[in-house]
Amino acid sequence: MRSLDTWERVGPPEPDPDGLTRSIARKRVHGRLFGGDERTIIADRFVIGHKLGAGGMSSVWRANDLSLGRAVAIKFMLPVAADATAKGEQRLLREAQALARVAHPNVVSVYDFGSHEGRVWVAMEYVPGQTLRALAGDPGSSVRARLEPWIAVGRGLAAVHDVGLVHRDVKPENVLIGDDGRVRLIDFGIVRLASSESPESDMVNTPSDASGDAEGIGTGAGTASETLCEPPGDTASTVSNPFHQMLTVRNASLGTPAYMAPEQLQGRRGTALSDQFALCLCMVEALCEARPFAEGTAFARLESMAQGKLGRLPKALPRRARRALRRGLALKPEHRWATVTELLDELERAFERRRRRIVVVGVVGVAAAAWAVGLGARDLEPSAPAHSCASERDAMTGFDDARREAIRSSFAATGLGFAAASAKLVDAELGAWDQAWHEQRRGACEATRVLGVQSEALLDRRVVCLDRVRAEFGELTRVFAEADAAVVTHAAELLAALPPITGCAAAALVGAPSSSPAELEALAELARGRALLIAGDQAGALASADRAASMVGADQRASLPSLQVRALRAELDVQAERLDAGFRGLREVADAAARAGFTDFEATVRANLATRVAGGWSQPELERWWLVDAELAVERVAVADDPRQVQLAHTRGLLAQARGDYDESERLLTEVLAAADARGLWLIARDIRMDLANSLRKREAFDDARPIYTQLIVEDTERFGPEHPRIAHYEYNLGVLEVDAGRFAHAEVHLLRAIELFERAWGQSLGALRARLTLVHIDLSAGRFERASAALDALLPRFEALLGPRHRETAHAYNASGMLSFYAGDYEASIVAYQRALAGFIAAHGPDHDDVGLVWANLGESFAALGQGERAMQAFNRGLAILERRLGRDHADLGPALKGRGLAQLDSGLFGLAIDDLERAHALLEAAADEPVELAETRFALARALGQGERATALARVAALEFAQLGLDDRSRAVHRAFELP
Amino acid sequence: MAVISDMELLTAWRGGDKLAGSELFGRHFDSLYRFFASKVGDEADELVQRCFVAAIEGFERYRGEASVRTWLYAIARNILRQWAWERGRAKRREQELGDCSLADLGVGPSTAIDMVREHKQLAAALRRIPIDSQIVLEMFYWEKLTAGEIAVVLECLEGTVRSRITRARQQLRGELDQLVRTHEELESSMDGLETWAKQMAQVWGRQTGDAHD
Repeated sequence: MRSLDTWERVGPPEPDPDGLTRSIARKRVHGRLFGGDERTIIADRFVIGHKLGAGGMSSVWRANDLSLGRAVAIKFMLPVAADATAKGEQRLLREAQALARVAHPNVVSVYDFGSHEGRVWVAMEYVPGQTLRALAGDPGSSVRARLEPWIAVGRGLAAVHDVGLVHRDVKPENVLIGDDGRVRLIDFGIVRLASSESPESDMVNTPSDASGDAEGIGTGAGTASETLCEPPGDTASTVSNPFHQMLTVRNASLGTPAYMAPEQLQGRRGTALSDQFALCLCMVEALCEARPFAEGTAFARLESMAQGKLGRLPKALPRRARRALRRGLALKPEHRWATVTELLDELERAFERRRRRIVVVGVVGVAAAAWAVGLGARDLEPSAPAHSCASERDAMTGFDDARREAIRSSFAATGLGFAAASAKLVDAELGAWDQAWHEQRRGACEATRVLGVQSEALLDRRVVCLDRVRAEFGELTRVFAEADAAVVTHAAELLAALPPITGCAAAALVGAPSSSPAELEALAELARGRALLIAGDQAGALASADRAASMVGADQRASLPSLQVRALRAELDVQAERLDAGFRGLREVADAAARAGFTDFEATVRANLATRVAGGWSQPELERWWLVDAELAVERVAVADDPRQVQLAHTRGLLAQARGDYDESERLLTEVLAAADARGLWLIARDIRMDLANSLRKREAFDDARPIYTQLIVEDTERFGPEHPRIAHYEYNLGVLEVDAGRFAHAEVHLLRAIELFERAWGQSLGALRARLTLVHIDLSAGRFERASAALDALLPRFEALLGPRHRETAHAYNASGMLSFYAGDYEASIVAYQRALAGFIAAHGPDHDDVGLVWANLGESFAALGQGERAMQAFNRGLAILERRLGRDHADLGPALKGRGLAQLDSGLFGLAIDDLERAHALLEAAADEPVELAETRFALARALGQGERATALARVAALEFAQLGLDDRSRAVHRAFELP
Repeated sequence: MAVISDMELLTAWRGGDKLAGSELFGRHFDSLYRFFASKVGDEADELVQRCFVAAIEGFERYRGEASVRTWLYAIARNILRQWAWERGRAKRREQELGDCSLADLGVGPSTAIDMVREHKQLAAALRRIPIDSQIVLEMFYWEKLTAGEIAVVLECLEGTVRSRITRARQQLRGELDQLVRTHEELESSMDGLETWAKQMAQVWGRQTGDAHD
C-alpha cells in the first residue's frame, strides 16, 4: 500500500515539522526538572507562551514582551531550507521590515522581527477577538453597518499597498475584530513585495526559484520535492492546470481559491489589484450574506465572474456603491480601480449624507484651529463635504516625525547613560497613546455617523474633549522634545501623567460643561505647567500657572482652567513641603469642581490628593476619609477601565501599611497589582511592587522582599537604561532591608550605591541624605561612634538646609545625634539634640506619636545620667504614656523605656513602682531578645530593687554572666560586688 | 574521553547529580517527546516530564536488563495508559484499554498541528488503531527497537512481538484504506479541472499553451 511503504522508507510523520514546539517543550521540561529558566526567550525580549495556531508554513505563538509588559503574537516561519542560504532568509527579513513600516490602525502592528535559530520570526500585536468570519452577521443591520468594517479593512489594505506590499489572502478569516471593536487585517502569510525579484519567474513555484521558496513570509521553504509544477513551456497537465497544482502544494500557500481573482486562478501572481478583487468579494459577501460567483467548482465560479453575476445585492445599497463594487470585481485587473483608496473614497461618497451644520460652542469659528486637529480645517466650512470616519493619519499633531526626532536627539544630548533606553521607551509609550487617541477619535465619529447610537451634540463635545486632550499631549511631547537631564530622569512620571483618553468617553462628558476656545489654550498651558512640576522645575511650573491665569480672566472663577490653575498652585505647595497649605488648597479645588459640575476633573483631583496624603501626613483618619471621597468621586464618573481606580486601590494598600497592618496591605497590593498588570498599567505596577516589597520588609519577611527589589532593578535597568536614578530608591530600600535583617555589610553596599545614584542625579537630595543617615545608624550599631559622629556633623546642616529644622527627617537625624552624644558620655549635648528632635517630631506628627514617645524616653535616659531624677521621671512618664497608648502595653519597644523609668524610680527609692516597671521591662526584653545590654541592665536593676532573696541573687548572677559575655567586665564586677557573688 | 553510559548517568542522577540528569535528559527527550506528541499533542511536555520523574522514582525497580532507552519507553507507555485511563474513565469506557484507540477517546494532536496531507492521513490512521498497536509500529519503524526491546516496552513475551507487528500493520492498512478512499473522491473532482482549464482559456480568449504571460 503506497503510503505505508513510503512511510517506511521516508520516516515517521513528524508532528512538528520544524521542531519549534519540541524545542520550546524541551526547555520547559528541562527547567521544571532541573531548575533554571524554563522559558524560551526570543531576542532577549519575548517570552514564548502557548501556541495559538499553525499553518502549513508557520506557527503562531502567544508571547509576553518583557520590555513593555504586554502580550504579543509571534509568527515563526519554517526554517529556511538548507539550499536557500542567506539569500532566502534575507528576503524574508526584508519583507518583515516592510511590514513593520505599515503603521495603520486597521493593520495588525508589527513590533519586531528577526531570526532565531534559523527561523524568521515576526512579533505582532496580539489581538484577542474573533475573525470577521466567526462573527455572526446581524440580519437587521444596515447596509452601511455591514460595509463599514470592510472599508476600514480596505484602508488598512491601502496602507499595505503603500509600502509596496501585496497581501494576497484577503478574506474574512484574515480579519480580526479586537475587543475594542477595531478591525485589523492579519496573516501576511503570503504577502509579497510587489516588485518582482526575478523577472522571469512570473509563474509561482518555478524550480528556477528554488533558491528558497517562491512565496516569502509564511510560505516556507519549498524543497524540490514540494514544488509540483514544471518550468514554463512543458505541456504536462499540471502546467495547464494551475488550479490543481496550487491546491496540491501545501495548503494556505497561495491564497484561498474562493477569494482568488481570475488572474490568480489562471496562475498569475497576485497583485494589489487582485487584493482589490478579494476585498470587493468580501464586501459583496457581507452585503448579501452569500458569496457571489456560485460555490462549487472553480470553473463555475469563473464563468459567473465572466458574466458579472454578483448575485442579489440589497436594495438599500446606493447605486453608486453598487457600481463601485462592480468595477472592483472586473475580470481584467486593468479595468478595476487604480488603487484601493479610490475604491474606498467612491464607496464613502456613495454614503455621504447631506451635510449638517455642526453648532457647538467654540468649534465653529475657531479661526486658528490650532487644536481642531482631528477635524481638519475644511470641516469648519459649511461647504466642505462631511468628514468621513476613516482614519486620518494627518492628524499627527504633537507626534509627527519631527517631534519624535527632537525627543530622541534632546534625550541623547543630555549625555546621561540611560538616556537612549529611556528615549526608546518614551517613543513607544507616546506612540501607544497616539494610537489609542486615534481609535477613540474614530470611535466617537462612528458612534454617531455610522452606528447612529450617539447624538451629533455629544459627538461634538467628545471631539472638543479629544482635541483638548490632544493639545495636552502635544504640550507634553514638547516638554520631552526640550528635555534636560531632569526631564529624562523623570520620564516615567511624566509618562504616567499622560491624560487618560477615557476622560473623553461619552460617559465622562454627560452633564459636564464644555470649554471655550480661549480656555483650551489655557488648559494646554496648564498641562505644560504640570509636566514641568513633575520634572521638578518649580519656577517654570509657577510661570505656567500665572500665564494660564492671565489667559482666563478674572470673571471666570468657576471655569475649568481657573480651577486647574488653583490646583497647580496647590500642587506646588505640596512639592515644596508646605503640606497643610497644599492639601487644603487641593481639597478646596475639588469641592469647587464638584459644585461646577466638572466631575471628571474633581475625580482626578481627589484621587491625587488621596494618594499624596496617604501615610505621609500622619492624620490617619483624614487620610482614610479623603480616600473614600476620592473613590466615590471616581465611581460617579463611571468610566470603564479607569486607571484612577487602580491608583486608589493602590493607595488603600498604602494606608494599611502606614497603620502597620501589613497583612492587609499585602493582600490589597497583590490584588491591585493583578489589576494593573491586566490593564497593562506597567508604570503603576512597578510602584505597587515596590510598596509590596516595603510591606514585606517591614514585617521582616526579608527573603520575600529582597527578590522583588532585585527584580525591579533588573527591569528598570532594561527599560530605562543603566544607572537610572530610579534604581537609587530600590537600592536604598534594599539597604534598609539588610539593616533590619542584620546584614550590615550587604546594607552598606546597597546604601553606597544608592547614594552614588542619588547624588549623581539630584545632588544632595533627600534620598542621598536618608541613605547617609542609615549608614550612620549602621555605624552606631557597630560601635563605630567616631565615624558616625563625623558623618552626622556633616549631615545635620544639610537636613536643615533642605527640609528645615522642624521636618520629621531632620528630627530623625537629631535623634541619632542625641544617641551618639549619649554613648560618648556628653549628656548635655544629647539633651540639646533630643529636644530638637522632639520639636521636629511634634511639628511633623503632633504630640502623640511613636517617635515622639521614643525621644521622650531617650531624654529620660539622659536626664537620669545627669542625676536629674525628677526631670527624668517626667520625661519617662510622658514617653511611656504615649507609647502605651499608641503601641499597647506589651509592645517590645516599651522595654528600654520601662527599664529607664524603673531605674529612675529605683534611684528615688520608689521600690514598689520600680519593681512593677522593671518586671514588665524584664519580660518584654527577654521575649524580644535583641537588646542584650538592656536586658542585662534590667536584670541587675530588678535584682537591686528586689534587694534580697533567691530570685534577686539568681537575677544578679545571670546579669553578671551576661555582662561578662558582652565584654563589659567592669559592669560584671560591679554586679559581683553588689551582690557579693563568688 | 570515554562516553558515559546511560546507566551511569541515571545512577548519578538518582544520587543527586543534576548535570548527569541534564545530560540524560538531552539524550532522550526528543524520542520521548515524539512518542507522546503523536498521541496526545499539546500535553506531550507534561507527560514527558512525568516520564523522567517516574524514571528517577522507579529507579530501584530497574535492574538493567533492558537499555535505559527501552526502559524509558516502557515507562512512557505506562504513563500514557494511566493518562488514557483517566480520560477513559471520564468517558466511561469499559473496554480493555489495549483495545482502545486514541481516536476512541476523542483525543488527538491539536488541530493546530499541520502536516503534509499524506502524513496527515497516516497520523490519523495511527490514532484509529488500538494504542498498543500504534506503539508497536512506532517502536519498530521509527525508533528501530528490536523485538526483545519492544517486548520490554509492551510487557509481553518476545515471541509474540512479531505477530503483534503484523496485526498492527493490518489494522493500520485497514484504516488507511478507508481514509484514502474518501480522499480519492476528492481527488476525482480535481481531475475535471483539466477540462476546466481549456474552457477557461476560451473565456479569456487565450491559448492554453501560453497561459502564463
